[in-house]
Amino acid sequence: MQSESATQSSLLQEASLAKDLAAVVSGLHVYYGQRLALDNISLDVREKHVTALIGPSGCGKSTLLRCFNRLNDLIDDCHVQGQIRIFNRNIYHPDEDIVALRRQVGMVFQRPNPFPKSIFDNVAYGVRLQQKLSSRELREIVRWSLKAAALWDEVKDRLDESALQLSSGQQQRLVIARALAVKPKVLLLDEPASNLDPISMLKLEELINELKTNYTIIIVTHNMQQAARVSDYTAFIDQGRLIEMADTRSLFTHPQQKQTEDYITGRYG
Amino acid sequence: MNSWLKQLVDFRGWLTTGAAWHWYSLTTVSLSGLLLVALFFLVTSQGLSYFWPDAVDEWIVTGVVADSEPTGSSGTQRLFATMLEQRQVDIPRADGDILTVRGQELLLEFQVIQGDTFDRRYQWFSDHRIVRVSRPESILEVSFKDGRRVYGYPLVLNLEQPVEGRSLTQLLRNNGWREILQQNDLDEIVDQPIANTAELVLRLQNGDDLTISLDQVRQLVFPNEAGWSYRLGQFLQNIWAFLSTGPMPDYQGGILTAIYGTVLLVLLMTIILVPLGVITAVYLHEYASNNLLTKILRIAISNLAGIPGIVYGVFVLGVFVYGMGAQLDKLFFSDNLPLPTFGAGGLLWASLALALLTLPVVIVATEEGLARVPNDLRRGALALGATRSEMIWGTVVNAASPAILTGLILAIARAAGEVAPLLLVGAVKYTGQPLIQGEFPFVHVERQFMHLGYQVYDFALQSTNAHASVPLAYATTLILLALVVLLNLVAIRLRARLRRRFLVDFS
Repeated sequence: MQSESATQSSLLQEASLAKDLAAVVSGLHVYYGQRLALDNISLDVREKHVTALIGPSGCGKSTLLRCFNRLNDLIDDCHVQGQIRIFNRNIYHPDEDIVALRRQVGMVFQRPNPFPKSIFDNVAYGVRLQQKLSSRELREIVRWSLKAAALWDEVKDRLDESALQLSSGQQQRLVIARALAVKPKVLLLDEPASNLDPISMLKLEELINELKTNYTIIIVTHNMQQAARVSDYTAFIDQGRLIEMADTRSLFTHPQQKQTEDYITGRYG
Repeated sequence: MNSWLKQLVDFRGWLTTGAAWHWYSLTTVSLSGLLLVALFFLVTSQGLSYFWPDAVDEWIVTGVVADSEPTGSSGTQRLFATMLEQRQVDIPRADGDILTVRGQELLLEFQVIQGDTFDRRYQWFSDHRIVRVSRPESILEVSFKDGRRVYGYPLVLNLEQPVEGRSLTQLLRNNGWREILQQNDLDEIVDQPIANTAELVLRLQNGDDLTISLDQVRQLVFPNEAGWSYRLGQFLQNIWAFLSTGPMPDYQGGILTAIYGTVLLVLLMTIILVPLGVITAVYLHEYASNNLLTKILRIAISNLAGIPGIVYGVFVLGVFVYGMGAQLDKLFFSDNLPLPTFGAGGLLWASLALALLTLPVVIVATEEGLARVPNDLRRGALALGATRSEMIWGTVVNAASPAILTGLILAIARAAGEVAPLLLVGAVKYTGQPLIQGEFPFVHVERQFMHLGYQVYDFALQSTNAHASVPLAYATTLILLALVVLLNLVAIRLRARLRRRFLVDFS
């Protein structure tokens, strides 16, 4: 408890004021049936910065990530207590429009999951759901999204080809382009690099660095070097509790908690 | 004693190594393969031999032929006949002694001529009744447009200049008569109407001369022509004629109407089947929670696949034909009553019966396809702001469409050969009312129809003339098999295209 308030106050100081916070989690409990998966999580996510969630497997970091776009709603026996405010709107309010929320909060999954359609149709999918556009406007959006995801040059000549013929690194960037096409404000990345080769991973990290000038990014990763490289803030979660959250540099160099230090130095377990 | 025991032990050792299972499975595989080859061989050879032109011989026979006393001089008759079978029998001796002699009997197919009608007959002749057999090359088979057929020697062709003798056969053999007719059509414009009077004089087996107007003739064939290319041409022409003509009296026509009926039946079944099956499967797999009720429902659906086809026929007959059809008639077709419109078996009800019959196949296949679509795909669509129905119908069902097609292929394979339910709901031996018409409403789904499977049943078991109809049963079976294969190939092609279009196969 003490650590939590300490990290929060430091974060708030840096952010100078609450108004440039993209998301505020307060008192979040998540249950799978009877099992408590997340225990009283409270943290802030700063706008247009990268926040990394790290922790051992099964600690609940992916569950927390999926709370931001309410994808946990799909799981039958999952229920959530507490509050998440995204741009000062409580997304767990009963009247919340989930479809609108998911357009605002895009997500990229651990395994690239392009739809069995062409590259173009993949990127256009979310846009087509929202509005009817002329094919010229649609082409412009697809081009813009693929450029933003640093994939345009590799696929511009074969937009009609299968998205599944791309390499997994390209697929992951395609999925990011697909998420960007609907113009979200927040991007959730769930271990996006875990299935990629080192070069694709590097490209992805560069992309994350570019994207954060326009988007708020929350990334779950079990790769601590990656967290250190790409994120501005890092939260360490263990067994459903938030152990420590700080700006990445200080968390990795001067962890306040013994658990955090054990984990990042590899003495965990 | 010792060695015998040892052998027994060895045999048990052979069993335990699993080599026995190897041999057992090998035997069953080769057995089923053999049966398949036998089936294929039987159907193909019997079916194709129906189309191969038979030689027609000139037989001089004594005694009673087809219930009539001999008419020719010296108690003989001339027959233009094809020999179908031979057998060894005990024949009573001519002097009325109780002793018999071993002799041969021949089964001949010939015609009885009465005026304009030529009836096909089959009769066994013992060989001592046969005076002479010859195979003259100039016997001509004339097929009329109305389905009749007659044999004889061509004598004269009446054009501007009558053609006779050898040059006449030469002319007809090359099918020159068509060209002659066309040429005479030209002359008609310039000169006088000759084409309509182009006539052929044919000497029949009873010695009468028959004058035939050529515009009634569909085909002229020399069945005893020795040339292979000529016979092959006839063979192909026979197949085409079989496929492209409708039924005619005395098993003479083709099966075009039945092919239409079968194809339309399967198409209409597909139109009913696919939406029903896919929507059911999507509900079961995507919407329904996995509780006891859905489990029971699933088991019930799988069990439906095991119900005999005739049960579906009875169900559709009772509920839809007599129930719903009669009500429809009262409401919309009361002008025609008491003649039923939808209140009797017809194409619609038959395809409904087949759709119900094959519904479980499509439901199960679709559900399996949906289960193979990765959950990541569903989450991906939802995370982009798709609603649940947009996610299911825009992404998941597309990805499962090859599996749906697989189900449809299985369903078509089962439905196209199914006859039992059709017996009750509209398949008939013969109908003169076409299913497709040039004017509104174009397709008459309420009408009775002819069906290849039903035709096979009818030809094989319900005929009054087994000699004429059983070969037809084989030929029809061959066409039915070919049609089922063709329909399947179309569906397989479609599936391959879907796989390419949706670019994935999760199986």
